[in-house]
Amino acid sequence: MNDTVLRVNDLHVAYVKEDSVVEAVKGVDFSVSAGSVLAIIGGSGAGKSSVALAVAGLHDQRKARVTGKVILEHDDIIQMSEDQLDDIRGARVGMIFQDSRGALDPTMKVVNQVAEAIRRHHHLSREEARTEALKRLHSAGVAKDLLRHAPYAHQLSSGLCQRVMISIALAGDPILLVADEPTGSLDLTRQAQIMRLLRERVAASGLGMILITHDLGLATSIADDLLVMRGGSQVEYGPCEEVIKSPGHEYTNELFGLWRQTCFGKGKGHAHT
Amino acid sequence: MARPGIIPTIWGGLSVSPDAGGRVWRGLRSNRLLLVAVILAMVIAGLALIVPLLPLQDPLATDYDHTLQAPGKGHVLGTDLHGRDVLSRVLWASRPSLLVGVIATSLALLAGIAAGGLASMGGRFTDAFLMRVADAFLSFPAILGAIAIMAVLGPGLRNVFFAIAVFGWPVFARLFRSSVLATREMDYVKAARVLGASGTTVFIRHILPNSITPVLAYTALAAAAAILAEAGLSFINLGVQRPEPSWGLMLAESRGLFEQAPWMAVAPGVAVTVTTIIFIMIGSAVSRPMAPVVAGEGRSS
Repeated sequence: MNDTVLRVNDLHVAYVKEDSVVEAVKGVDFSVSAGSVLAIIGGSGAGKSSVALAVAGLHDQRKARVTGKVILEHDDIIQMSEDQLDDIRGARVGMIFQDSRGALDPTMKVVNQVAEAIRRHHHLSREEARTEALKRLHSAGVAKDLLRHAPYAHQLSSGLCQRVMISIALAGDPILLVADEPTGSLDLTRQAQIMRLLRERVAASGLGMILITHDLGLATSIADDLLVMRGGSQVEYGPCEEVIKSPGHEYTNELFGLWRQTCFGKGKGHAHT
Repeated sequence: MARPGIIPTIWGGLSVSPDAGGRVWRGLRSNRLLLVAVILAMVIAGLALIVPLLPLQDPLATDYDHTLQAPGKGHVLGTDLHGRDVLSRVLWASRPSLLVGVIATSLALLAGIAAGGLASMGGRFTDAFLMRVADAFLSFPAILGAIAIMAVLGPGLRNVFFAIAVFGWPVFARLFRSSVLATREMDYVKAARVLGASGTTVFIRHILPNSITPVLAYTALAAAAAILAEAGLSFINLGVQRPEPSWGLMLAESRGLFEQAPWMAVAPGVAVTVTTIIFIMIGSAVSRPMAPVVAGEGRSS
């Protein structure tokens, strides 16, 4: 599938403070096709999350100045009013957060949270939505029996919370999924499981996905395209294999070098961050 | 499966589910103080409800042949200056006291939630305006304010409800506002918004249930304060009017007679103290589980 879901041109994001303006993103260009995954990688402060927020139309217009073009299918998100943004949130753009437990309401059963998200986007009765929620949770790896014993988020493991969060994010059958460090709080096994689940969903639903991460291994294991950022600027962008094989920028080269050292123990030391 | 890390609310949530009754019972069983306080409160409320059915003497019937009679046969708690049965009057007086506790506190709670909700969600000007009004009320001694209102409106139980609620709402408003402001910043509220929930849905489904618990915990303490305030107003003859029974009024009638007939003061005094303590116990017990609990560690006080 090569239908472009999202096209971003010359995206700039600047945070306006009382006496200064901090430019977090300085001209980024990329696109995301249906059924593909774009991984945005870079160190802390590279501007990755600012790009994610801009794509989801989540910047507070009083505090951030966003310019450029963020075209979701045919609509420019930057030009949308708050009401128009409300219409696309969840329905056309889904989002997954790093702290999935924190992103789930502690006083509401998780199945009800999924059902509520389904009802928001589909005309279903309460009971139908609940049945659909259980079905979706089951297919995401959350068993019905488990929810009977542990119905609230604080009773579930981080991995299960992330599976619930994915079910909520996909409840409106969006065309674009933005995952901001979705496995940051998980161990390696669960990271792999969640990544596999996300990859399956992308393939099955034909949605485009943006994965924000600082984990190069994770990014290369799932992404079709790679965007490398540093200090708010785009330093490399292209198909994942090409970027790995022949990095065109000093920083990317350095990043891959450090990653190889960490993974395979080559060189003088480890680069734990 | 991870065990609970943080216990967020009294019984794990306020959402109604088929198991809600079971969860309330389990919560009560695990919180002995609350269980004892709730049972005692139910006993007092039950007595107030069935008092007309009890084989008691008429609380208003005077008997000048048996005035200031000590507790004994015929009058378990003795009689007052007019020969009225003190037991009967104490039990009947539980009705206005509990009524004030429930109605005045409910009025203050509703007004406080409305004002606090509006302040927290309605923008900077609305917030500043409502909070300054609340501050103005808070800066004035509540009992003096209530006396002033009663002096204007005149004595009577209905005006007591109003006078107590007028000075009760600012604490509820401040409490609810700060709770909403804290909840509004929680990730799950932002997540719900990001995933398409409207502002109203987010407020009703996510912010309100997560913000209301500390307010409800305070409600029991406010009810205790309202019962005391009613007793105080009746004591100075601004609340329940003679010859109707009221604990405050009975205490007022016992003035100057303590050496001669101590039962006149002890009975209503114990009644108002015990009832107030029970409500304070409920408030404290309900507040306790709201302190964050880290798995494997003790509960913070």
